[in-house]
Amino acid sequence: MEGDNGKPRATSFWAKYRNIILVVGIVLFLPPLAALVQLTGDVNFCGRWCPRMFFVWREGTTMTAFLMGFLRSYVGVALVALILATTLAFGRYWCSHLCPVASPLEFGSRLVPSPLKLDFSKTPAPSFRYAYLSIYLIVPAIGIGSLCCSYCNFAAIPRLFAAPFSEGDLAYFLRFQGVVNFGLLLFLGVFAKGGRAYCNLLCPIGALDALSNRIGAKFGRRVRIDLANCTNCGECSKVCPTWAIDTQGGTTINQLSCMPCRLCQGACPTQAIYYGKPAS
Amino acid sequence: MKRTLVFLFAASLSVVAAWYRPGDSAHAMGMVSIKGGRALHPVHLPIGKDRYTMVLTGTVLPPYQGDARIVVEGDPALPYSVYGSDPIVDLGLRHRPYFEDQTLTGLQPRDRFTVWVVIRPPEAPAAGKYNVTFYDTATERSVLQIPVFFGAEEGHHHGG
Repeated sequence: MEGDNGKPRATSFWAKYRNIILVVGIVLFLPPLAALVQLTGDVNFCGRWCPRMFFVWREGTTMTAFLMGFLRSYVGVALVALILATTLAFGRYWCSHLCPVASPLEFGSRLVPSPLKLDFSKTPAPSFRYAYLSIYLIVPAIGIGSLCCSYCNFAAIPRLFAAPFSEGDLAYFLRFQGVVNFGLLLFLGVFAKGGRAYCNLLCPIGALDALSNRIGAKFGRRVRIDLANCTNCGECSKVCPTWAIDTQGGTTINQLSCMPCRLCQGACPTQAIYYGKPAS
Repeated sequence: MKRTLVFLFAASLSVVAAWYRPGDSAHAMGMVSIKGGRALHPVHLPIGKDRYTMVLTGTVLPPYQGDARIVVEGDPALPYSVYGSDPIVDLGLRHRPYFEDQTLTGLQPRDRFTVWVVIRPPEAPAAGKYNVTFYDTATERSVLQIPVFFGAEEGHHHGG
């Protein structure tokens, strides 16, 4: 079994500097700097950077209009393509390390005292997630409505960061959908154990990325368990923010929910968890 | 069994969430040009609300450059406010128009902008058409007009 380039497991770069990388993601994508976003003249994920809308077919849309959506959001298209491609090979590093929409929720969750945190780990996340994704894709196509912008985490989080400085972004939260989005971020993010329930249940990019993670698990690098060393103590499942680890009947990792945050790796007392390619 | 029930519950909840529109929000996109501009999709709002919030994002098509004042037009006139949404720290990587006093100042070709329009009708507006119009301040000609339709139909507009 292969570890991180032969380095000791607990001290790999991605595991050791995850918090710093998460902050870098915030600096690159979110106000006040939104450094990477400003390169294209934008201020947030709406428009060119939108990663959520371009792949959704709407009732009455022509093929030309659909393809124009790809051009209009070309940065978002490139971003999603890059995320899915890298996930195939290396796992969901976007979700675990870089996503600026997820990291504030995770950081926020760390500030909430444990007794106040909500535990969603009994919810079968993939069932919920892919039900949501199915409706996300189907409903606009048949003209019933849309979840794209109304419940957009890529709109709500940047505006949350910008709201203290900008009346325009504050306006987002002074309306019904802004309040609902804010409530969801609190309920499924800040007050959720691990801070990742929103990601795990309601993020369409996360859902697509999880599919890519599952598909690439046969050949790509993933967080895996060395069952020869595993004592089934369950310490890993306690720290997993996406409740991807099941310890009933032997410890297993669900690659449809796992992201390489490597928190389980640090928690494992027998170093039975590693990041690498599948055992041959 | 539990997975199936959760799937059905989540699907039902998602359908309701997608279908229901509170009507106080919409997103429109447009392109500013000397030929009058083009709205990529107009705004549809249900009647009967006491506040409507729209985000308008747009691009400036060459060769237009200038200042554009943003007004909401229609009969009867409705009270409204326009807010800019500029970067909090402008890194100066790209040229950017400056928003002040309901006017986008210093628009240049290929600039991008985001503004918010908040309409607070004193009483529920009747069904009808309004426009959010961008007027070039030098010529007073319209460089972009985004239709805003007030109607009974819900669930048709693009939430922003």
